[in-house]
Amino acid sequence: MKTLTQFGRRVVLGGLVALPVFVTSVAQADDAADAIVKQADPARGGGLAGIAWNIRLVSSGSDDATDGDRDLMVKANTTESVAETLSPVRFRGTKLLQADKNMWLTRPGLSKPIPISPRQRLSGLAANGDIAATNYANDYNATLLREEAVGGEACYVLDLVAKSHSATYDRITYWVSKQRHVALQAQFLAVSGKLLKSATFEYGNTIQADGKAIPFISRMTITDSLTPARTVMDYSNVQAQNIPRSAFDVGSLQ
Amino acid sequence: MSRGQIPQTLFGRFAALAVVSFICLSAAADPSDSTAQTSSSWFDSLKNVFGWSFDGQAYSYGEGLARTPKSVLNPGNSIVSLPNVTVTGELRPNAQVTSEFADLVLKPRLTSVYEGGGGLDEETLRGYLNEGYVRGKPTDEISVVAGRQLLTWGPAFFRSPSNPYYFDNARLDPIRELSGIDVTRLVYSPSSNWTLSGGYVFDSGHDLIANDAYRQSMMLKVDYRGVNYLGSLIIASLRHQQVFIGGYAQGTPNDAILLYGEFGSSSNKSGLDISPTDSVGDYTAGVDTGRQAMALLGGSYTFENGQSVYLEYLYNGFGYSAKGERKYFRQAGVANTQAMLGGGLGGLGLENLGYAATRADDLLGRHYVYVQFQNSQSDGGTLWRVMAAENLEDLSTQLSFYVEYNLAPRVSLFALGVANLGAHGSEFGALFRESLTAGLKIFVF
Repeated sequence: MKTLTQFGRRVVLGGLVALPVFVTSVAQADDAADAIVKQADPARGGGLAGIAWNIRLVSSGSDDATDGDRDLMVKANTTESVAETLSPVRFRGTKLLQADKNMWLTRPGLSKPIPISPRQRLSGLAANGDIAATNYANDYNATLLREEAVGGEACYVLDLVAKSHSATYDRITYWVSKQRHVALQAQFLAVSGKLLKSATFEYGNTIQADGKAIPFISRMTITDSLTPARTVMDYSNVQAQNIPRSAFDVGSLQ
Repeated sequence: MSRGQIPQTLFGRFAALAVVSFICLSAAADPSDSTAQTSSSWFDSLKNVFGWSFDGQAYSYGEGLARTPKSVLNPGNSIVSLPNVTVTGELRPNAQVTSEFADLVLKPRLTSVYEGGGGLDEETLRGYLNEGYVRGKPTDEISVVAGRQLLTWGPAFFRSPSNPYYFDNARLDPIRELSGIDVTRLVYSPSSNWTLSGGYVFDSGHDLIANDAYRQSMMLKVDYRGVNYLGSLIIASLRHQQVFIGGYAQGTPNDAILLYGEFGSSSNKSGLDISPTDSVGDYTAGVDTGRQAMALLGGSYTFENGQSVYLEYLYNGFGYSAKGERKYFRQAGVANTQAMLGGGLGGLGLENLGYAATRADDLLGRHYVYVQFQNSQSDGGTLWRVMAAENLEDLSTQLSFYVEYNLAPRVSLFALGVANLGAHGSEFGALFRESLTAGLKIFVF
């Protein structure tokens, strides 16, 4: 058996020293990426103890008969949300409850809430997870890809990979403003990497949280990757508030 | 035409007291109203304290039904009295007023029903409170709910074995509405994972039933919820029956699949016994069945386009085996013959057919399979659903479909069709062959 030369021993020794440094730096980079995502979540409702808002949802550009306006009232906390449809009149009273990854739908006339899978769409291109508070820091592992500008604003570009199969999307490419710490753009991908749809975000609202004013989402525009279909969600009447547990109890949903 | 009476019961007085209490409680919840800005109107102050929502639908529909010719259980339509034609008009307004400390929900109903054909010519007008309750929220974790409400739970479609109050959960008939029961319950949710509720059931609501097992009973329910699964355990004491023990569980392993199960165990002191020997004899009603179990296993798969397929299997411990069903219908056949003879024997025959008909609303067999295929129920376009239920003992099948088509923003046309396939001596073939219900649903507000 050949023994290592002096040079070889130096290479191995150097590798043994460099490996933990490399692993640590990668871990630190991932921690930094997770921190960026966590910092961006509150502007979309994530990480807040309780919040309520109205959403006007307009879908267009597809042959699907679901095109049209829909007004929702949403209440959410860190892991739960309930969205009640206010208009159109035929859907008034319809409620969608999301508690972690458990979901129920009810509407006037139903004998009891129906458990549904996350694949059930709400309307247009909006998934049920889009109207609720966003907790990407809990649901995804983040990796920093690069930095680039969006609309002249410097952004971190992150790769978010779902921690479990029950996340709304398998993979997201996420642009977060370096200055404002809010998400400006997202691409939602299948596990294969195929682009499903894209979204842009605007932050014209402000809410008070932890004693300070933070920007809050005012518009989310979702576009389909293959068709001209488009869904615009406008957020209004945003209030950080205490929401009792009964609001998220499926037994009290109807 | 007979007019329904609007009941003025103890519950009615309680409801009035609840409304007054709600108003007082909500007003007390925000003492700053008394120091509201001088420029705010009274109405603006009210909007700051209360939230409200209203919706209401009006239904107008007709049903045509084709009875089973020469029915063994229902000769000449003399036992079950099924109308050939039913015309219904309904108003279903729903109102909800919410505040930080209390909510009020009111769901009154006005129903006019005409039944004709098959020896019937009857019109009924009824006004009643289907649901009406107050929910007090003294803390974030505790709520107290009192009044008439639906105590429904569980994920299953075909039947709800875990629910002693609503085993038939009306999910197979999208037009039919369940009736609320009068109950007071305390709900405690110390965290997002745990919910504990206990309640006392006073009565069975506006559809009062003599010898109602629900009346003056207690229930306890414990729920645990994980990230993508949940489970529940229910214990209920029913009058004159053994304690009900039940539960359900569901899980969402991925975004397309839902798996679930329900079970229930209790007894029934109103069981129907068929003659214990091999010879054909009389039915015996009011029999204590002893403790029996029911269980349901089910699952669903949702496709990318939002359409879903559901598959369920039900075991009904209160039902008859295949041999028992054959004997049930053989005895009914003998009773049918006796009834046609008239006289004293005819009276005995009619009495036995009456006993047999007490099973008409229950499931007859022990093993069932149920399949449902539907589009996304939250989409804005046409809603549709097709369903099939099969009794695995006698192999009779019930096929049904429901469709709801948007005629205008506030008007939908709907139809519910049912076809029963099976021999005269089978569960789904015994009473009627097919029915078709069609009408308009108007979204009033």
